[in-house]
Amino acid sequence: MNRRALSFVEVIIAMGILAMCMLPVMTMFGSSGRAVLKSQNLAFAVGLAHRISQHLFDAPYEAIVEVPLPGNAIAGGPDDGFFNPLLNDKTTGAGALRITQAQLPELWMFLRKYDFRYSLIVNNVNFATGDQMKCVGIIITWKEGGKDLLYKLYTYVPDL
Amino acid sequence: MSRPSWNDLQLLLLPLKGSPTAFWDTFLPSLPPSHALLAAMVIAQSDPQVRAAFLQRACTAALQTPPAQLFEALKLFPKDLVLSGFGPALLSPAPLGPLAAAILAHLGITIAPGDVPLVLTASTGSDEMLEHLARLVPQEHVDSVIHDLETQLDASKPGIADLRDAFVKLLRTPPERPLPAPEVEPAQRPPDPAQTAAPQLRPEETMAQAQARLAGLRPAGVRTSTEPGGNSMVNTITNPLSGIDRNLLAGIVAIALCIPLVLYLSSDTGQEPAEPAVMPQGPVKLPKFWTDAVTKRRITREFLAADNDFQMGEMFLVREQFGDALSLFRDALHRDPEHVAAQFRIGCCLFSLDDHKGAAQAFRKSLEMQPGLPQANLFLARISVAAHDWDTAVAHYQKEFDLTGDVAVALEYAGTLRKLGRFPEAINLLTRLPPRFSGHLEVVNLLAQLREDARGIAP
Repeated sequence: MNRRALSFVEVIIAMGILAMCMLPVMTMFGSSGRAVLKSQNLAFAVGLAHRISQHLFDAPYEAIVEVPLPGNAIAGGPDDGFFNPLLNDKTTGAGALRITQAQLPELWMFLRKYDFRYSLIVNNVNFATGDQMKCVGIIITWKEGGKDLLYKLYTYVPDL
Repeated sequence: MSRPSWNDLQLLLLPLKGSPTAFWDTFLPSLPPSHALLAAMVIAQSDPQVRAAFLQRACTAALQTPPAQLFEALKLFPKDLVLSGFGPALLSPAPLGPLAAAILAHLGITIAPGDVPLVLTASTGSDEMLEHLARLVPQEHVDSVIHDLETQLDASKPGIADLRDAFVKLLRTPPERPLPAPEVEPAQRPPDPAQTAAPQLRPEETMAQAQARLAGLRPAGVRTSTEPGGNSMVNTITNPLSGIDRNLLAGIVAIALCIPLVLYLSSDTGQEPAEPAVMPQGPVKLPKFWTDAVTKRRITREFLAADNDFQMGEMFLVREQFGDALSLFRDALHRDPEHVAAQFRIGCCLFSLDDHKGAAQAFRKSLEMQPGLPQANLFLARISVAAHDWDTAVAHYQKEFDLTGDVAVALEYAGTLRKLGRFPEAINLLTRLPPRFSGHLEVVNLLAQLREDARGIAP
């Protein structure tokens, strides 16, 4: 039997054919990966906005103030009552955990990677004397795939 | 020489991983040299520095044991490694110097020609040592070495001239002569003619510097592990491959090249932002626009301001303060003329304020901005009903029903058709509702009334 080895050109041609066959599969993997990334970040942004929303109802009415764009970074941001401190499962203030590289490195890295930020747009609405509300726009921004993405949620906080 | 079992070797080595010195002092004397060297390689395989230290000590210890026991073990190692262990000993006094020369000669290892004068002057000058040293000189460099000896050695010193002459004589002797004791098997192969040019000895070089240089030098006749045919892992790897089908080998290579390509192309790393190593300093630059993660709409700061007005307008609308709400919706539309929801809400406010003409205009504009906008056709239908423009009302109801398929729209549409006496159309509309609305109480009641009305007009 006449058996011979493959030449370099034959190998290259075979690789080219293989690459062309794999192109749709690779495209599918790429697009599904992007979709997963988008839904992951959007879900995260929704969670962040709702956390702020819940804290707004718990905050003193006068303490709800505007946080202008581009907003506060969530990772390593200031002590704002929303994210810093993030949680405290101890009985004293010393157990408070903040989103810092030292205390919550994985969360800090994720938030830094996509540069998650929040802004608050606050408007006072007076319907009548003693009947007022605050219209608060919660803006979550982040960077993803070279784009600046935004999720907004409006909430209304009555002066009770 | 018996081979120790792997379990024995593990039991021997594992407790000593953290203390190489204890390993050496405790166990090396009890092991045959080959086992000791292999054990040193095993225990220190992940740490090149420890391994180098082990080999250095192994070579030193080997010089103090009968050489015949060591050649088998020494052949396990690359020649450059052996030279790095034994090279400095060439400059040592007896017995290390002569023994190192003997071992290197029997292993067929050569040294750089530039080092020969220094080694020769440091040697004991015995016939046996000189013969071994002569075997360390690469054959093709004999003439240059003789020239170096004649030009670099100080013949005025006592004994140097005799030493040089005796050595030169040996160099000119054909190398086929058998080596003197120790009696071992002959050298593996003659030195490789492809040698690198070694640096020439500098007269001012100290002994310590020369020792360091000898320890770091490649043997003149030994190829490195990266060169083809070298005494290295290359042979270990390529020899087994010689039995593999070359087509299969080419296929494996192609697959191996394709896998990284596929992984790279399928990954999304190219589109993700790089992880910042440090926190950005200074003010953060505002982007020109954002992309709404839900609607994919372009969001500018103007849009956000307009949306803020819109949201406040919604609060007034819920409180049925239509005038204030209308003002805020108009502000929103002024800031962002493409704010469809604000345009629609203007229509709602005007409708509630009984400005049907203005409301109809606003709803039509909102439909122009977004043709499929829900509820705009419904309000236009209501405006037409109020104006008794029945055909237009029916047309808008139909559009709205086609758009949304909502049961509330269907009930309102069917009620209008009933007013117009178009019972079969109304019945037909309600029966076309999705099955999930078939048990809806209002649908059932209206359908029953319509059928009764239809029977009443039937002949």
